[in-house]
Amino acid sequence: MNEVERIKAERTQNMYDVLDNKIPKRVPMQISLGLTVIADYAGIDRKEAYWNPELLESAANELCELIPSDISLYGHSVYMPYSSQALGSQNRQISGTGYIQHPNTVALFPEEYDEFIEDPYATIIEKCVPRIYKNLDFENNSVRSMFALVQDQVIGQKMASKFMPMMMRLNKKFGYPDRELNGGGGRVPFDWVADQLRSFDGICIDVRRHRQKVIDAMEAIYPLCLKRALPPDLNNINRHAIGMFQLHMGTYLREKDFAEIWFPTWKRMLYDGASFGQRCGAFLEENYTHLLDYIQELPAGSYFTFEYGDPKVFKEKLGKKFVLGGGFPLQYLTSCTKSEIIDKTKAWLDIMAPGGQYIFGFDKSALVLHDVNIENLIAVAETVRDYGVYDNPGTPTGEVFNKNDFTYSNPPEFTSKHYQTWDQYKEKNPNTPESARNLVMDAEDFIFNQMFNITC
Amino acid sequence: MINLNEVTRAIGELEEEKVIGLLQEFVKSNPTEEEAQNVVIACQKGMAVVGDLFESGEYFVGDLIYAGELLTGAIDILKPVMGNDTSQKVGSVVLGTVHGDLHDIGKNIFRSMAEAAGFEVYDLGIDQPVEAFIEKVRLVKPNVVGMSGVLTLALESMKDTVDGIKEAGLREDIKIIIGGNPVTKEACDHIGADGFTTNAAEGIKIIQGWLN
Repeated sequence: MNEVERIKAERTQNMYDVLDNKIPKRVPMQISLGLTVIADYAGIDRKEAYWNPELLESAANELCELIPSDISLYGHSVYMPYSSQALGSQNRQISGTGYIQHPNTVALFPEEYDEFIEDPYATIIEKCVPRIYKNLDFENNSVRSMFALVQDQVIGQKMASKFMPMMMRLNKKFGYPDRELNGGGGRVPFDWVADQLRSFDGICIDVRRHRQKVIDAMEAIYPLCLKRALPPDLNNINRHAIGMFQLHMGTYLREKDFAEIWFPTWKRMLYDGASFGQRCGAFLEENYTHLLDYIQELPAGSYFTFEYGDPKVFKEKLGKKFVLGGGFPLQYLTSCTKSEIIDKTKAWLDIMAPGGQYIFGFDKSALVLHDVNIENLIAVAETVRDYGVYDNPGTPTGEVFNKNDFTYSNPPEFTSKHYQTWDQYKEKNPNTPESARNLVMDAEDFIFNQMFNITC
Repeated sequence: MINLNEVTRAIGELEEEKVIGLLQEFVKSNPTEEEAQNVVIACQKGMAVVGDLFESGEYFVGDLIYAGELLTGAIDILKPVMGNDTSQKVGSVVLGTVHGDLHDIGKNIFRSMAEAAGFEVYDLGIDQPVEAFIEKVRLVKPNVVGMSGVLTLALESMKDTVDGIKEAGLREDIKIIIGGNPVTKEACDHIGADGFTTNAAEGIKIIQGWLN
């Protein structure tokens, strides 16, 4: 084993220890910088970098050398303009300053709740997708829709061939763990409907004016959301693969609405996933301090990163049952001197590190280089590496996740007039052998996932 | 005769059906324009209650949005009896999301609360270049310019905009407030704004304080 392989093994083991209720050798850290930050650092126009991420390799190499994170410094981008532009997206647009973002959009109207509840997938495909994506009006412009979907796929494949090899080279050179810790992810039913379908303000009004319909809609889309959140092979779930949820609306609602509408379907999803052994996590966006009692109801061993709030309160209330992460204010990078930020990092670790169950990270992602003072970022990472060392590695800690503590809720199976089951396929194509099932259904699910992803 | 305190209370407690019932009955009674203006003021007071409850942590952002919708509906009911003599504006605000940022939820909440507080609001929209702010300020000579942004990159755009307004010789005549998730005291000083807030209700109090 060479030095890089040793570093990779140690980093992986630290991460496994945190997830396996053991004190690791030191606090692992997840620090990465997005495509736009690295583009700024490289002096390359952000808009150019979105289309040619391979131009960032030299800068990414330099940053990986400088900053001893336990994951790759190159964080890429969740959204890419090639895709949103091919599809004619209204909800993912690149601004003049070269940052892709999500303007508030409406794709479902209050009077459409009944049909949405009847067949959510069909309503999404027939009504919502065409409203959000002007090139995907399947019924009125099937030609453009077909071309747009193919263009998205073709450019997507070419794009992957540009940045994936670069990421693999960085992983190999610097000894970053494989992506097996990443177990996909999902959306909270309420957030899905809010963020892309009814809009932020629309759902806030619906919660008062159409409360029961919102509740019914959450139930109706539960099977879709669960299908998207669970891995395809339920018999072979990796204990270390965390399915992350991107939360949004919870803290913008009053507690009554959170408790009665937002939380129940998410909790159920986590319990259903846990019954198969799927561990989940979430970024607790904004300030969850007043909602921590609800979070405590979620399966032990879940992984929660947080944004605002007193870290002592989070550690005290959640630190034993869950793995915590993030929380360290990004703003310190630009508002502190080097010595100040070293002191703040040590003070932070003094709160969060005891008892293990913590992965260091920031409260939010940097968007542009202006958010980051690289010298301070190096100081933070070096401090975590050197100060976050435990003297009792291997000691058992925290509550252990056990899938047998959970029972599957047996929700209705996902069906839709636009989702072709294997039986329906066989009926139309009777000479197909059973061995073709996975190929056929993977293709059907690929489309399902794409429709979900572009509207979530 | 309509109970103005009841109107204020019902708006403050976000009781939509109650508000609609009270106002519809009021409109049927053929009120004078002055009486209608008093009801508008009662509605505005109700929105101030909503703002206070938000600041105290009892209401959340979703409640502010609903309150804005409730007030718009209330004013729509009152319009036929309000006449042309629209109520005296307490001041004017040019408002916009700065360039590079496409978010507008916070800006829209601030707009709705500023209008409810009696301000004339000129909303430029999202992703607005420096020139758009300068042009509008030159044209309408507002008391206040409000700049909104959610992304950290909005902070530099806010600075560009304040600098642009200064260079155009318009800075002395206006107060500038910045709002949104990334704004802080340090950012406010760096940008050269007069005030900052991450809370629309507090923002309204700040600009009211300037005009008083």
